[in-house]
Amino acid sequence: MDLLQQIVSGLTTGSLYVLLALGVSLLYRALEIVNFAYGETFMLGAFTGLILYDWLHIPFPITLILTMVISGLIGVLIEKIAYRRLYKKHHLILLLATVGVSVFIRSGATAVFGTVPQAFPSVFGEKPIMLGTLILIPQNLFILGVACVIAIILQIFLKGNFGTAMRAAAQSKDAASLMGINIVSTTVATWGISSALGGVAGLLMSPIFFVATTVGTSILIKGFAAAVLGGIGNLPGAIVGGLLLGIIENIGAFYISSTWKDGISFAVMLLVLMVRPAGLFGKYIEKI
Amino acid sequence: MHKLKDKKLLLQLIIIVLLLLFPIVVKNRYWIYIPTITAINIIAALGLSVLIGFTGQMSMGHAAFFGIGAYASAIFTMRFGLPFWLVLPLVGILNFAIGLIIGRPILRLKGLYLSLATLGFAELVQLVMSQWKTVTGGWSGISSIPAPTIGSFSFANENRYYYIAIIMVILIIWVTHRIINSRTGRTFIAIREDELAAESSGVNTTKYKVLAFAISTLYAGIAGSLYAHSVKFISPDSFTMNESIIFLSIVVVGGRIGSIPGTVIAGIILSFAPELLRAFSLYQTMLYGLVIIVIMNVMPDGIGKIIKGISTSIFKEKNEKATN
Repeated sequence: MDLLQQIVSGLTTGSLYVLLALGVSLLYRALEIVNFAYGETFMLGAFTGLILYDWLHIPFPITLILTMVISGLIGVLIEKIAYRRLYKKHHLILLLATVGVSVFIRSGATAVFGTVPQAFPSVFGEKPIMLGTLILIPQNLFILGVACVIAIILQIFLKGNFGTAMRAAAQSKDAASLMGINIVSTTVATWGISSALGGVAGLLMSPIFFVATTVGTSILIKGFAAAVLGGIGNLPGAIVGGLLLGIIENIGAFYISSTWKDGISFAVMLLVLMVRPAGLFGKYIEKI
Repeated sequence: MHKLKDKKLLLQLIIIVLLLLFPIVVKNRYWIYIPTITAINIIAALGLSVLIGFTGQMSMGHAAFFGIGAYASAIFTMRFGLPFWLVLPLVGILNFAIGLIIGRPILRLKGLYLSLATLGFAELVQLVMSQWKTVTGGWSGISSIPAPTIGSFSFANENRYYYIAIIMVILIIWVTHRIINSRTGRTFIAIREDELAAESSGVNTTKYKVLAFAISTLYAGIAGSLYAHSVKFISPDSFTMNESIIFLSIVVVGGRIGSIPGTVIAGIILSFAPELLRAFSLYQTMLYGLVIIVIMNVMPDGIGKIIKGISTSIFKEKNEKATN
């Protein structure tokens, strides 16, 4: 029963890793880019949510939508300012630019919000429901539900025209351009969606954990680990990878030691890269 | 041709003499401490440059090897009572060995996968530093690390320690120069330019990639050892991803296509910049991030290319005059 309890608890954090992994994989799939500022997108999303929901008392569903929109817009803005000129250069240049953005945002946020973690009010009640011996917390179920809905909407959206345009642009920019696909707007939209996913993950994580300016690095690596586990660039893989990582982490923390909890995701990522870099479902692409 | 070589040698001599005179002219202890840290950063960045700039392989986790060097150095001197002068080469050998062992499985990966693997490794190392309390002291780290001594002469003073750092960085620059201009160095560059072509020309690319990685971890270890005995206090906080980012940005700002002078100058700029920005304390790191974004956008080829342009124009002209 303990094991089942851990699996259920793991699913909630796992569902947030799913959103992060989707954002990481989407960007990689479309543009072959790894965004090292993604942890900061998550952090900004959490603070946006804190301001809207806790300070301005905007209802949660609207906060949720606004956070996605604002995070997406920030992502698009950063792309325009810092990355747009770098696509044709060596990938290391763009990688370091994302590192620069990460440093910039993190220290900027620390200058504004300070280093003390802030509490986020409970959204959906923390009074546990007993299901046999299984303890369920309504809020965690709610978070799991919202994350699932977002992941499903994304999947449906990507089946449509945009998804096709994105895949075409990923295969060959020139050919896609000749077919009438607007490469710039596809690129911008990819950044926007990826950032919105990161931001909303930050918002949804807030009621469970504190909101802090320093979460970036560890969250970034969790997102990478989940994406790598499912096969980076593979979107269904990101869903499985995220959920699996959440569960592994929880079980590991329960049976081994909670101090090593963060280490579990690093170890999983390293192990997968060593044994099967393609992950569970992906293909190992050596291009980048 | 002779005169050109003489001029370069003269320039190098002048720089070395100026560096050696620096603590005698500058009395402010703080301004002597910064060049020491700069020298340490340059040593680690040069190692990373051998890996990234010359061999074309990636690492996002060199803070780990820097940290291993620092911890090993502190533990060897404090627990086993070994002298610093023995520990420094020992740490080098240890880190080289670790580089060979880790490099073998990790360097089968390329590009992004390699960055992620090195990043994951570095985070694991940091976790071990903070959790293996009996050896590392956990989050509180190791303090009062002894300064090096020769007989009764102690290098505890910033002025004296400065000379160790400066001599080491000069030595490392020279060694790097020799490596890059050797058969091995040319093999590294061949791998960077086209791994497949290098392999079909009979180069054992795995062996050389692992060698480049081990060289870079050796440098990081030496830098870590120098760091530990300079600041005398180490904790897991000193070896986060931020540290890896500092080394990485020195290399890329110096020039993605490897350049020793580029790396050295970028090392000086990026080590001094935070100190000069100290007046804006709250926004110091923010400006650091901004500097990186701007440099990547404005001169993505880095300082190395500019230096190459300047030096060819100067030396070419002088060279022609000399032959006339």
